[in-house]
Amino acid sequence: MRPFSTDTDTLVSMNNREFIVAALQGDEDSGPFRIDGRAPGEVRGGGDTFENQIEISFGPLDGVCVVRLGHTLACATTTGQLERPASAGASAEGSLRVDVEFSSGACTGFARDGRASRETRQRSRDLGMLLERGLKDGRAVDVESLCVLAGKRTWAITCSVTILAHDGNLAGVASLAACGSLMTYRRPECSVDPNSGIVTVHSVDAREAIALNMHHFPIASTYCFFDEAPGLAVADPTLEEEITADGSVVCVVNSLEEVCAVSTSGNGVSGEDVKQCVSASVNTAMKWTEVLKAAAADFEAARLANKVRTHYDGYKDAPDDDHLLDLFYKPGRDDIEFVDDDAEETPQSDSAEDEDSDDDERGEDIDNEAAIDDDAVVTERVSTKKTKKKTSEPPKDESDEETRFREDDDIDALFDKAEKKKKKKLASWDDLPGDGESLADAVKPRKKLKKTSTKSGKK
Amino acid sequence: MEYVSFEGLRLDGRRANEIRRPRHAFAIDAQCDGSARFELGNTVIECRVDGPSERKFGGAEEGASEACALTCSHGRSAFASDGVQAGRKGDGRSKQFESVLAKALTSAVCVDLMPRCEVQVRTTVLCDDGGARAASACAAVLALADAGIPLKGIIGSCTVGHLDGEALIDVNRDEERGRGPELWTCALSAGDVPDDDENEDDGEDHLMGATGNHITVIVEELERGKTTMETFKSMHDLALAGCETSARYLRISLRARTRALAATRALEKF
Repeated sequence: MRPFSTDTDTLVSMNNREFIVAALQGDEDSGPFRIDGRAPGEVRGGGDTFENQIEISFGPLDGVCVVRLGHTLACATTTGQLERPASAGASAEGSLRVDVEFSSGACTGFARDGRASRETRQRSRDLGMLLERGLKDGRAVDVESLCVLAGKRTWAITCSVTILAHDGNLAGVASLAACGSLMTYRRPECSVDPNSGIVTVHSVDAREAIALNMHHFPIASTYCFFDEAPGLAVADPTLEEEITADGSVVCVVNSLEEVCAVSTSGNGVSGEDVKQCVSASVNTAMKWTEVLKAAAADFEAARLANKVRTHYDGYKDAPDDDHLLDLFYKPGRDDIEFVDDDAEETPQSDSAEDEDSDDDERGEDIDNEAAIDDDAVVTERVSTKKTKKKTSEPPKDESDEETRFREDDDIDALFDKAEKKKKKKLASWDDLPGDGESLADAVKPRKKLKKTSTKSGKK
Repeated sequence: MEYVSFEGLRLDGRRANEIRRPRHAFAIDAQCDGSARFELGNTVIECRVDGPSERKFGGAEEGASEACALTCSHGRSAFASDGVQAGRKGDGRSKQFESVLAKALTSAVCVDLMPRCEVQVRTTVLCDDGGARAASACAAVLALADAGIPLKGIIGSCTVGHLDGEALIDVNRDEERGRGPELWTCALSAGDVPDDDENEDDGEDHLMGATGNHITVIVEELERGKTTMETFKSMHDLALAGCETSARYLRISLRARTRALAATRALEKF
């Protein structure tokens, strides 16, 4: 009975089958032993031989992890993308998904006619759900920190594990690979514009990518049971042992002695055996977590050492989003608007020359206007707009000055200023000269004003 | 929210180690070979079994396995639960349940007696008030027995939750929403079980309490969060006791059914 693999894949010779069982039963002289020389409760990773080694390698990219345990080999990669959260209940959480695929070359019988058989696909789905239970339901990955904009954009993290070679304990190797992949994965930083809600994903060159928050590392351990040796749990079985065994238990446990998931299969295991397995799996989890963390620390050190610092000049192409500041604080911008206002109001009266002179000598224009006011040359009809301009100009400059100083720390002042500006731009009926009875009264003086102002400009 | 009161009573008035009232009915559908309905409080499950019949697909070329193939399909009625439809047919969760249930039932069925055959088990959740998976397993056992398929033993099944620092057996929907860890266990009760149910009406007396060592765990699925080692062990013990209780109920009901059938047969004879 094999946990997470099909029933018709590999054949074990009768001799090996009998030896595995007989060795586990043991005799008076020696206790139970196993075909590869390990003790029943001993996991791989402690020996010098290739079969008894654990090897965790990372890279070259972030989030790629290859784990080899004896001849069992698994590779995990993690990817992430911004998505709309699927359910309303989890609108402020990112999602985590674990996909497991059995490579068709990993084991005889995984594929038939070049395709994974139905049962193989079901087994890989089961294993994926077991890992998900540890990582997602056990809250190993902090999904709340994956929320960018609640209800709109969250990170969807997918960890895909591929089994490359199968020599027993698929669950253990897959869980190690998944943990290793998730702990080295880095997602690009992103920021949200509070007004428009536009999400900007920053290039990893511009801002340092962010690693996932991992609270703990759920590690799966496989145990096999044989009817001939009741009560004897065989830890980290090889493929031949898994095939020969009658029942199995897979415990997903972290190094903090917390049980994340348990799954049993086969012809049945007594209740006491399950408890025994869960207790024993803590030691394995602690041991392998250490190995994993050490390997990840090495990778992290190498990553930092290899990091090439480049000067970022992407800001040159970046869109200029400081509309408000541009509108109000660039020198000369106010004047342009005033002239434009005038041009709009008196389009018919302006000859080509007048416009030219306006454009050329804008600054002088206003200076002269002010001078005219001072000399009281302007007629009464003109004075409404003129005086308005004049009276409003000095305080406007003042407040401009003020907000310029305050611009860094007082955003409210900016908005107040914008409001004022808006009001000013919208001409209201009350501002027009005349008594409001006839439109002609309101329009006439403006023509005159323009003429006088241009004349004075030419003087 | 308080799930266990100071007096030790749960939301629906049960104590931590009390399961809801089980009920059952056999042969609810004449169209299939065997069928049963199993209720656990307000949770209602119907199960239909077809087979053993000649295997349709996966014949000789599929390889070594000559034994009977047991397949499960699990569905939910649209009105089974309000709001979020958890585990709709065809999604990952439901598929996983199907595969686990098939494995569990296969280990209880004498597959060697029916070579090159297949048995189809279809479970439908009519009403889900928590513990639908456990009730489905119980319903499947009754339906298999109704179809006359030889069984090695009876599978008892129950769920255990953990809320307010206490392991609670047979959680209902409100308690499931408490988002505590949940352990679903199926156990095979096989071998020589004393026939202690001469009168099925007094079955209440021995519905509670775990005795005997003839019970083996065939499915044990812990999900929805992590637990400490001690919590897991207390949940595990409670779950095994619950499995034994439900297996005992199923055994009593099957014996009563067989007696009733024997009686009708005898009436025909005379």
